[in-house]
Amino acid sequence: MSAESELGVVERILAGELAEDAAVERGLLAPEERERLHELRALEARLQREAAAYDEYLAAPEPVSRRPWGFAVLLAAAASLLVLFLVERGGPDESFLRDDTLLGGTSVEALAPVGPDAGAYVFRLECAEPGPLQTTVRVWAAADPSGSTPRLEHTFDGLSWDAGAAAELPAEIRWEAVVSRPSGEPVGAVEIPFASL
Amino acid sequence: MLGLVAFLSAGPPTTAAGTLSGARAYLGQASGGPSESQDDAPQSVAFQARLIALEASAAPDPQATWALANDVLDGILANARMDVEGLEAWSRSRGLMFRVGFKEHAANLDQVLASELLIANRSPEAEAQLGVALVEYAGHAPALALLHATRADLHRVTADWTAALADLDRADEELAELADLDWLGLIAATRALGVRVQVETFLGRLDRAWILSERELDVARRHLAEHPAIAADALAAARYRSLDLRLSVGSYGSIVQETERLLAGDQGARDDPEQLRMFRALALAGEALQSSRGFDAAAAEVRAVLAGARASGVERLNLLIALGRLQLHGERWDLLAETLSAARAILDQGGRERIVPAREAARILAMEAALARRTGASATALEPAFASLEVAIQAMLARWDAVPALPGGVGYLHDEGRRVLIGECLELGLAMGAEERAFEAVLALQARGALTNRSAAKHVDLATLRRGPFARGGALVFVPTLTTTYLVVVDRDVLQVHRLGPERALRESVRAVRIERLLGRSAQAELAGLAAALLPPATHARIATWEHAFISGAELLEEPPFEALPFGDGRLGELVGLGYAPALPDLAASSPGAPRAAVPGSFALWAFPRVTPDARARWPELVPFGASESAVRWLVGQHSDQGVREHSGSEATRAAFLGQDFAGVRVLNVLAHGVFADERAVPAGLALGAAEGDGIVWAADLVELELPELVVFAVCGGARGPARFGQDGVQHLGGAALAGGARAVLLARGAVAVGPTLEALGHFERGLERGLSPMAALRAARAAFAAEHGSAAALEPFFIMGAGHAPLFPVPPAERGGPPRWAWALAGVLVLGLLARRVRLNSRS
Repeated sequence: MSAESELGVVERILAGELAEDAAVERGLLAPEERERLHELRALEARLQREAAAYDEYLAAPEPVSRRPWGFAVLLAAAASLLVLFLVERGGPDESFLRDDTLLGGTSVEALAPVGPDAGAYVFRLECAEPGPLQTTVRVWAAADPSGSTPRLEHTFDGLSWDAGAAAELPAEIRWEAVVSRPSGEPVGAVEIPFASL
Repeated sequence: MLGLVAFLSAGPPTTAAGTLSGARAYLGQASGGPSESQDDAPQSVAFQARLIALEASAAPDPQATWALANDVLDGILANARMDVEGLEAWSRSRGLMFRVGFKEHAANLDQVLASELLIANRSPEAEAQLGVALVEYAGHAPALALLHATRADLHRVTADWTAALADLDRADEELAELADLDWLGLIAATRALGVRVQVETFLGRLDRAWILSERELDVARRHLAEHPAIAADALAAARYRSLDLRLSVGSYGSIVQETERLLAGDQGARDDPEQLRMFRALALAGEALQSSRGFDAAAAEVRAVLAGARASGVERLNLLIALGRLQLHGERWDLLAETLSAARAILDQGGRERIVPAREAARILAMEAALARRTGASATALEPAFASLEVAIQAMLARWDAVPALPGGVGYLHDEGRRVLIGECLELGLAMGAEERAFEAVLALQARGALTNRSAAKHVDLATLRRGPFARGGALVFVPTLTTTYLVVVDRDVLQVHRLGPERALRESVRAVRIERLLGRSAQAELAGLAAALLPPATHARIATWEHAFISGAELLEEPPFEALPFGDGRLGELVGLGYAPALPDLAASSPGAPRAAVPGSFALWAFPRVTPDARARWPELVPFGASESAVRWLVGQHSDQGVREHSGSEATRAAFLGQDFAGVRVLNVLAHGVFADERAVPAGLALGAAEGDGIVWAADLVELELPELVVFAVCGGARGPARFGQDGVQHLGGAALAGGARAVLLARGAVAVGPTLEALGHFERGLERGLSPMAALRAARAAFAAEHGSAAALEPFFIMGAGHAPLFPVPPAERGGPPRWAWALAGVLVLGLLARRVRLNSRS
């Protein structure tokens, strides 16, 4: 993709590549973009007026002693306008700096709990880590999310556990799971704020 | 006894007539009948062997003959008479079996004989006997598998690891020929797995050992119905190896639980209660040492096991070492002296028999030194003990040098016993005012990493480090043990040794932080606790004077997030340049040289490659990149260097990367998806593009390149790899890049996102161009990121590995001091004003 074709519709209209009416007719210009276009045109006109005033100033004879100050003031005004222009325009597109795409994969995913017909919780996770793993699940009642002591804490080999009748858990729970290597080193953790049978 | 029991349980051959006629023929050739010396030597194993054959020929039915023969063979083994007569008897029995066509049974006798010879420390004879047998059984896959596995065990005992692994591979090849396991195949398969578990455990490849141990247990369990006796034996043996492995990783609680369950009656018929009690006692001792309580109770358990006569020499030594440690930490000096005396007696006995286990001998020496130190011996009196310990450690390290350089590395320091030796060296150093001398032992131990061991860095000493990497910074070296973690703070001028908490307590603190972070929480309280545990206040003043700090030994504590630790008014990673150096000697492997000015092309960027369909099929989480062209332009624009060599999108292919000539490039940036393939020895890889294939660049590819002095892997998990404690990074992309010629590497342990990574790279590369070292540039990037976003947590996974302490580029003239910038700006404005005035005046005139 060339740099030119990356220009937005507004920029192409401003550059004279595309007529505003044509863009509207072809449905290329959304209302908010049209509004932005008008704002930018107003700004452009304002800058042109300021530039004309500056030319006029340069042309007019003034007392020599005032000129450096006047020059500085005008320079500052021009700089301010430039800054204003950049702010108005939104600056260069740096949205990629907010891109939260991971440069690789994720480690642990919770696929459960799921409630089979018997009404039991099944805690199931997926984990990209190789080798034998164990999981510790902690469960709180959803109605008591800040409870310091979990209603259930259970460690099991692997990534899936059918709580079954082993635990009389409420119908609505909050749970978290920590997946560890046999040595105890955690490799992933998930928190599920709400789950119900 | 495994082999014998397996032999007994295999059942009688169905063609016993062949045995009988073979026995008659054999006896006719060999002795002509019962020996006239029968009355003189009724216990003679030779006589017993003849008896087997005679009874076999006389017995009325095959079942009775078989049972009788087994009883006699059992008697030979129980007498443990592998003397000349015993060997002859065994050989005759085995030959009889072989000649009459019962090759499976003969092969089993061969492995039992070799094992018995091995136990009797007669490995040359065992090897010779196995060598002959391997020729005889050509084409018989189960027999060959069993004999190769047995020979692998022999090589394991004699520390010939290359040969052991080769024999295990041969055993696996033979086993792969078998569609189903018959009784001999089952013995062969479980023995091969068992030996491999032991080999991998010794080599510190514990992840592999765990998987193999589980497989061994599974194979034995699956055959319990079909071959009950053999499978029960195999299951018992597999359990012991599993318990041994758990001892290695310090999983004491699970050992106590498992052995108590088995001892309470849940054990199989073949489980040996005394063995189970030994594991339980060792685990209880470990738990007591970890928690610093319950010394006496654990010591009583160990003593009870020692009172039994069954433990072998090395087992007794290990029990005595455990007992001694309990007495040392319980300050029972008299009892400790007795324990050490008993251990010394075993060592002396071993010395006479030329069997002295180097590791155990060094540990006894260390405890003798500790006893002398703790009971007030003077520095002069401690000197001989210190010198002996140094020699013992050198002997142990020399033995380790026989370990082959395997892909992905081996983990020497997984064995806590080796770390204890270094701990005692440091204690002696403190007691004698010889801390620097003690630190040399740390360096010698660290030099066993794969990268270091094959380079000149193997012999790097403290003085060399002080002239180079420590000149403007220092190192924080952690040596964790069950009872104490030693922290050495070392720089150009000082060397301090601090005692921190037990390794388990520190690991628990690290885990608490990690779990909170994995759950997306800030972990402020946990980080504060971890900082207090790892960096006591006494260390702060010194660290604060450093430009950079190398962290060493932290992998043993599961990589604490030093960057995020509260320190002074901020975070350690924002105040000091941090770098990770699992092996400090490696820092001196390549001289950084003086900074050289950047020229066009000093930076190369490989970014946002197109992930191939093959890679997406294997790793579906690799999403296509968006806005990559503008991101590349932005990143290129962050450099003063106008000639950044950029390869992105369809140009960033594996083929182009591997064919690239990096001459002239000094900083190579790779911004791509990271992948992880657990079947590989070095599992991390880079997902580049490709016209065909998956486009992945693996560690083995990197090693073959001539890489620039600084390599940046802006990918997820470039440092992910199996734990190899004491290794210097060869288990991930960092070590691969160093092996490929890089001096330092920037890479990430965990997941990183595109946006923060780009921003961090922008700051980092600008820092490099401003004359900062890679470590300082990463610190500056963190500080800038934190200033803008309130936290640098998003950059936490990134770290520098290797010699990242020296700048690549000189400080630009604009930043070399002189008048402040505002003065230059003011002067510039004045000049411009004067020029404008002159122009105006001229134009008017």
